[in-house]
This record gives sequence, structure tokens and C-alpha cells, in this order.
Amino acid sequence: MKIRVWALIAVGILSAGGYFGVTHVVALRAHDRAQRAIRIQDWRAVRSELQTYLNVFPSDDSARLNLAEAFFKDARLDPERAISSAIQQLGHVQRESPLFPAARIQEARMSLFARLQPQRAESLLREAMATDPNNVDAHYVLWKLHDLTGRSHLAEPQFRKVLESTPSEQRPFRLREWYMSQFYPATANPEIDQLMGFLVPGAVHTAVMELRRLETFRDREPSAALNHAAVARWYSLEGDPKAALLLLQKALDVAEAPLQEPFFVATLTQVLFDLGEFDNALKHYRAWPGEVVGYEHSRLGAILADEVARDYGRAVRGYREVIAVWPGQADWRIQYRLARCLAKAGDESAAETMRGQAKQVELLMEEDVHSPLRRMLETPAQLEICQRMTQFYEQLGLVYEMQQWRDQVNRLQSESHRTGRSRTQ
Amino acid sequence: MRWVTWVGICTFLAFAGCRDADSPNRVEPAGAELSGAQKSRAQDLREAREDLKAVLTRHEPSDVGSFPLFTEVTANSGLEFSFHTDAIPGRYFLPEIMGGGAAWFDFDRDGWLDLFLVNGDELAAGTLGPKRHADVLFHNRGGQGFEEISGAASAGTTGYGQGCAVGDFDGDGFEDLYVTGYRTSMLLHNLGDGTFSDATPESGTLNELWGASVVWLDINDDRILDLYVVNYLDVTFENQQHCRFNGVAGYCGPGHYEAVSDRLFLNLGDGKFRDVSDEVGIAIPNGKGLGVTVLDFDLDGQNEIYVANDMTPNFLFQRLASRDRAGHPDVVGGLPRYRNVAPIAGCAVSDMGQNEASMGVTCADFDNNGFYDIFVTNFYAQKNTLYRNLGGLQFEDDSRRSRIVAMSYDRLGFGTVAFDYDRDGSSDLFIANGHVLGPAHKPFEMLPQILHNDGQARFDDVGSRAGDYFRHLYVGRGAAGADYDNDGDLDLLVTHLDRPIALLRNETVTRNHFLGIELQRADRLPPHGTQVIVEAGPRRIFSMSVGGGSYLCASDSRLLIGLGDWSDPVTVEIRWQSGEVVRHDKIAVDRYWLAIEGRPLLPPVKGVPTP
Repeated sequence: MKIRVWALIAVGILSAGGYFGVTHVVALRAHDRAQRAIRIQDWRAVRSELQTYLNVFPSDDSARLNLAEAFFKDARLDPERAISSAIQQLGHVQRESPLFPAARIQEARMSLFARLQPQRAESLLREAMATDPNNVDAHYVLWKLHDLTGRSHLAEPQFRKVLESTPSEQRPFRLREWYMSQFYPATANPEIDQLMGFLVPGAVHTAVMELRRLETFRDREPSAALNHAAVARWYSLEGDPKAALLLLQKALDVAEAPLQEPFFVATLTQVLFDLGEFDNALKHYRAWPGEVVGYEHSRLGAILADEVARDYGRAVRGYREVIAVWPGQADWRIQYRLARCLAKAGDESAAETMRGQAKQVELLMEEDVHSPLRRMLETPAQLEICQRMTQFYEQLGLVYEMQQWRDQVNRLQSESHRTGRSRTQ
Repeated sequence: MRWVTWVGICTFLAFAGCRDADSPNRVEPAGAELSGAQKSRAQDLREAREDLKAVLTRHEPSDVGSFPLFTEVTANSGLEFSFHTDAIPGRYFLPEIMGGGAAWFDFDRDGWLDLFLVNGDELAAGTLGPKRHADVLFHNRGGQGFEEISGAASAGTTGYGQGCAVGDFDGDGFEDLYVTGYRTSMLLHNLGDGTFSDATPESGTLNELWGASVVWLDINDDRILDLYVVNYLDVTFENQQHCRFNGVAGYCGPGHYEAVSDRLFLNLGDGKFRDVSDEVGIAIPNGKGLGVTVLDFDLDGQNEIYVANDMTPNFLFQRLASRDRAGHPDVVGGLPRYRNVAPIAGCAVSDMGQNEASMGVTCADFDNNGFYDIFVTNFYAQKNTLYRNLGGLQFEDDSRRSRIVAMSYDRLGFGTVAFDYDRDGSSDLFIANGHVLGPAHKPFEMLPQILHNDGQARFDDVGSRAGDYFRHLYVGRGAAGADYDNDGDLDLLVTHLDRPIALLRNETVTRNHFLGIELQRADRLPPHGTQVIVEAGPRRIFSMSVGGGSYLCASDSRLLIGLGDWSDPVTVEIRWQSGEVVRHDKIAVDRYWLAIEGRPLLPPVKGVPTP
């Protein structure tokens, strides 16, 4: 009797062992097939194989990421279902996992480029960056997100992080991207606008296309105050503050905690100021949410000190802060304002100097200057183009960019010398 | 038994919970703190909603005391005139798009303002042949309509006309006309019998540049009128540029052409003039001028000249007050020197240092601080600009606080008239709008505007309630104000590119009162810069006689001062440019008065009815 029992147990163990052994082998083979399928971009096969594999190895986050990508990229699936499935897979990647930042970034990409939900994307990117502050992918996507939502003035730290981790010979291309962000932010990313379906290949970017993008963001993510503010900002910049205010008013009813979003408050303050509603503008400026720092906060503070309080000393200090940081360095209007305040504060000599500086910057913002630069930048990794860009940024007083382009000049010159030497040898 | 135990435990927990909640020393859970913050946020949101609702309500024309009402009476008045633009499809020659002016003046001195309308002509036919599209003079039949007379045509006007100004250059008591045009000009001498002669050749006032607005003024205190001609661009068929905007052909703007300097013609007193532009210092390069006005901005007894330039900084010419060792004013060969002080005065560019594309200009004391402010109409997607006069020839761009920005980004303004349409004692604004790129570009036609001033130089656009004319789109250009029917309110004449002129009779219903004053200097020169202060009970209302203004046009030179609901007699203080200050007490309101320097106020001799 006892022998029978032990035999039964042994058979059971062996069967279980066999079963596990077989399923492991099957799973590992599935994983191998999945890798091959990834190489040939057979996303359906990737999905099938990785699902088999993950049944056995559910904690393999790398496979989760690949499976998510397979869902995302499989054109045969219903897009919304595909994205939901991909995001579901990414949700399995826990905070303790080394792949947590990668999973969040991937989800952020899907949220931004496929679901057109920038605020969701931004919060995912910030989660990723909280775990891995130097994650270049996160910085890169956030840079683009700032461009796409009309907040390119916030993108400089991300650009620098990305540039620092870019190989030297690739940097002219990154620097070109940054130039576009700086001077043509609304149209800086035609590939992304194509990906998101706002721009037909071969078509030209227009202001209306930008509005359509911003409105779509708002409609896809109506609770995000950021998106409402971006549409209102567009109208404000187009010179229709009343329409902007109507949009912001509606947002107060729809968006979640709009007065806690600095971009919303900045836009509201600007619009109220443009409408001549100085008291209301001041009220919202004073209730600025979160940290009271940054370009927008300084700029609005200085303008309000200038035009509302007529406190020219304070305005001068504020404007000086503003023109010390991007995009203040290129904002000749602010520089003229500073000149005027300097004159009002009694420093005519400094005012004259500032007027001269503002004039120089104003001339550098002319289309006549930028059209040839844009044309040249189609092929940025050339010596004379790098030299021209160095000169442009030097004239503008943007030292970091100037140094970066100069480094490229030096690199290309030394490469040229090396090539010359090897030829002579 | 088990369920009894469970009930016991649950009861204990429930009571324990109650006791804890009732405890005065309880610590608020985190959730309660969040609720407090949420409450505060909700309160902020509620306040913001109410604030924004109030702001938007303020920006609707609902809180204005009395709405303007202007009725178009052009056809009923016998006025029929369309400016001949000579626009040829596809040619895009810039003068075609700039429009023509008009002048209100009493050419026959019958007390009723007549109307002169400048016409274009065929541009390709050259500039010196007889006009195929004549300028027209309409005689005012005692406020009962107009009839076209051949007075102006009798002078045989030539060339493609643009702007005009009214002034009695020979002191014969009849006001003459100067007409600017595309590379030509005309000085039309009013012979007093209803006819005009062309005095251009012998006077030496031919301006062969592209002239726009023009103003008469006495620059050297010799008591005869000199002439300031604003010049625009050097555009010819030879140097014409071809532009496309978003791929569609249109008129190239001032950025594609060189400027041509303004001209100042000194009246020598014998029917001849001399070009003294360089000598007096007004021939500044890079002034692409369109509008001009003359008045005493700093109340120093000397008039300044303000020129609105298109995409280049505006000019403010101040007559230099310095004197030589002998105590004589700083003069060159008997001429004063002028200096452009606009950059240091703060009225050359916008608050952001931007050269604005200025077209028309009008001045009034919008904030009632005693100093005349400057309002300039600008390009589409730029703001119009209100330069507030702080005194001491210092201005600041007050366009945002005044809400001008909010109402002007989507318009392209040309002619503009400052006037108190509802007689509430604050100057309001009329603006004629219309684009310049050409009909293929949208928007091309635009709504005209009437901006109501709340008394603190804060404006509301009340055009939508101002009558049928204001509900339609036009390509507006010139605008000139006049009380052509002498009923105590200012009517408007608007010139267009795309349709005939419009005469808008002011029929605003108001119980407010007015005072009309026609100023006449002892030397019979135009009283530009003469200040009139009306004391109506506790209110002091400042007015000034202004030369030029608007775009290509000349308005009624009489002062029409709104008094609000004050109906009792008022005190009128007149500060003449000679330095004489005269107070006239107990002046009855709701009528016109003739103020001749050195004499008591008189009722006007002719034309103007008194109640």
C-alpha cells in the first residue's frame, strides 16, 4: 500500500517536473521566436509568442515592454484596443523594476502620439524622471511635448540633457532641432505632426494646423487645464484675447484644478492684462500656483510692475531677470520695454545701450536672417554651416548654443585636417 | 454564538468610532485637510468664474449709458461718389489700394459745411493730364442735402488724388484746398465765387512724390499759412515689387519700398512757396508717412507736428525753443528748427519698441487730464495704439489698460475721428477699417468701429449697436467728422475702396448737452493748439483745436464739447496761442458760439441755428 502511495507521489512529481520543464522549454523557444519576429517586425507573431512566454515568466519586464510595443505597432489591431492592451502590459512593470522608467516613457509616448493626451504623457514622463533623472528618452519626449503644447520656453533643460548624451557627430542634428524649437516652435516637429495625423506628408505647416492640434489635445483630455490654456494661448498670440478669455472661462468649469496649473494662470494673467483688466490680472498673478519662479512668472511680474504699478525700478530688475534666460535673450520686445523703464528710472545711458541691444536682436529676428539659416540647416553637419550658426548665436548672445556650434566647427576642422594628413601620407 | 461575538465587535468598533469623532482633541485625518484645500480651491474657482463673467460682461457693450445711432443718409442727401481706385486685376500696384480723402469746409462762407471729395484716376495714363475721374465738390443746401457743383472741377484738377487739407493760404477769407496725390499735387485757390483755380505751378507747391495726408500751419509766426505734406513711398511701375502671401498674389507693403521724405512748403506771402524741408529739419529719411496732425501737446504755446508712419517710427516734431545770443529764437535764415523728439517722448514706437504700421491719427484728451493724447490706427494683427500724454511732452503707450489692444488686433485701421458722439464729456473714437493685401485675401472687408470712452480712457466697442452701417463689412479708408446739419453733434463721412462714400448722420438719443465753439484767431489763422476749458459745475472739460488728423481727410474745425447732463450756463476759458487767456462766464449751452480772439463770445453770424 505504502509503496503504491510513494510511487503515485513520485509519478506526480515527475509529471509536474516534466510539465514545468516542457512549458519552460516551450516558453523559452517562444521567446526566441519572438526575438526573431521582432527583427522582421511580425508583430502578430511577437504578440503570440510573448504571451506564451509571459505565461511562464510573468516578471520578465523586458518581454512586457516588447509585448506592449507589439500591440502598439500591430497595424491589424483596432488602434484603441491595441493601445489599451499595450498600456495594460506596461502597467505590469513595477516601480522597483529597472525597466520602470522605460515602461513609463513608452506609455507616455503612446499617450502623447497615439492617444493625443499630453498631460497624461507629461505626468508619466515626470514619473520616469523621478526614478531616473538622467533618462535621455524621457527628456527628449518632454522637450517635444513642450513644443507641441505651446510651451517651448520650458524646453531648454530637456534639450541640454539630450544634447549632452548625444554623440558629437550627431549633435548638429540635435542643435538643428533646438534651433527650430527656439524660433519656429509651432512647426518644429513635422514628423510628429504627421505621426499624430495633423500634417499630411508634403503639406505645409500652418497656424490653423497648430490650432487643430491644440484643440484635439483639449478634446481628448478635457480635464487637463494645460490643454485649455494652450488653445487660449494660441488665440491670445493671434491677437484675440476676448476669445482666449472665453475659452479660459469655459475651462474653469471643465478642467481639473485649473488655477493650480501655472501655464493656465500665466495665460489667464496675460489675457486679462491684454484686455486691460489690470486688477484681475494682478489678482491671478499673485495667486500663482506652486513655485513662484520661471520665465513666465518673471516676465509677467516685470510687465505688471511696469504697466500697472509703474514701479520702474522693480520692472527693470524683473526685465533683467527675464532677458538673462531663454527665450528672454531673443525677446527684443522685452528688451525695448527694459530700455523704456531704464529711461523712466532715470538711467538714460543704460537705456540707450539697451535700445541698441534690442535693435540688434530685433534685426536678428527678421525673416531675411532666418530663411537662409533654415535652408542651410537641411544639412547641418558642414563646416561653413556650423560657422554661420556659431556667428548667429554669438550675435544673439546665446553663449551655450554658440559654444556647441563652435565645438562642431572645431571637430569638423580637426577631421578635415586628419583627412588631409592621411591623404598626404 | 459566533454571530453574537461578531455583533459585539462591530458595535464596539462603531461606538469607538463615534467616541473618537466626538473627541475635542481629535486629530484631523489627512482626508479632512485635503477637503479643506479642496474647499479653498473651489472658492478660488467660484471667484474666478465670477470675475471672468464680470470681465466678459464689461467687454460687451451693455453698460454704456447711451448707444450711438448713426443713420446712413448718403443717397437721401444727394451725395453720390465712388473713389476711382483704378485697380486692375492682377496688377497689384500699391496706390490702387490706399483710397482717397475728403474735406469738410465752408467754401462759400454760408455757415454750412460743404464737402470736397478727392478722386483717383487712371494710373497708367500718367499724372499730369486732365482727370478722367474728377474730384467733386458738394454744396451743402442748409443742412437739407447736397448738390454737386462744378467748383472743384472748374480748376481742372489733374492726377491720381489722395489726401486734402483746407486753409486760406492767401488770407482772402475763403478757404483753399491742397490736394495730394500719387506723384502729383494741386493747390486749388478758392476764388470766392464758387470756382477754384489751379495755383500749383506759380505757387511752387508741386510735390512730385507720393503724397498722403497734408496740413496747413504757420511754422514761422509770420501769420501766413505754410504747408506740411506727408509723403509715403517711392513706388513706380518700374520698381514695383510682386508679392505673394501664403502663395496668393497681393499688394506689397511698405517694407518693399524706400521711403520718401515729407515736404514743408514755406509760404512767402506773395502767392509763392519755398520748399524748406531740409532747412527746418523735417526731411528725415525713412519716414513712410500717411497721417499727420498739428497741436500743442505740451501746452507751451508752440504747436508740435505728429506724423504717423507706416512700419517706420512715428515722428513728433518739436519746434526748438533755444535762442541765440541776441535772444532770438533758434532760426536759420528766418526759419525755426524742428527736432524729431518722438523716440524720447515715447510716441515713436509701441511699448515693446515695435515700429507699428501706422495709417491714421487722431488726438483728444481721452483721460481728461488737460493734455491731448494720440490715437494711431495700425496694421492687422497689430494693435492700434493710444499714447497717453503725461505732460512735459512725455507719452506712454496705454493701449492695454485702455482696452484698445483687445479691440484692434483683428482690424486694420485707417481713418479715425475722436469725437464725443453722446455728449457725455469724454471723447470717443470712430475707426474705418479694411485690409490692404487685396480682395483675394481674407479678411479684406472689415467692420467699422465706434469705441465708447467711459471717461477714464477705457473703451468699449459699441459699433454693433450703432446702426445698420456698422453691421456690414467695408474696405474703409478716409474718415472725416463734421456737424454738417449744425444740430450739435458730429456726423461722419467715410470713404471706401469697395463702395461709394457713406454719410452717417449722428442720431444718438441722449439727454446730454453740448457747447459748440468756432475759434477765430485775431490774425485769422487756423487756431491749432488753442485750448478751451469748459467749467460745467464741478467738471472741467478740456478741448483743443487740432489741425489735420485722421487719414487723407479734413474734419470740421469747430469744437463740439459734450457737457454730460449739465444744462446750466457754463464758464468757458480760452487759452489762445498768443498767450492771451480769456474767461467767458454764464455761457448758454446747446448752441454754437463764435469766439474771436480779443472779443466776447458771439453767436455765429450765419447758418447755425440757435435754440
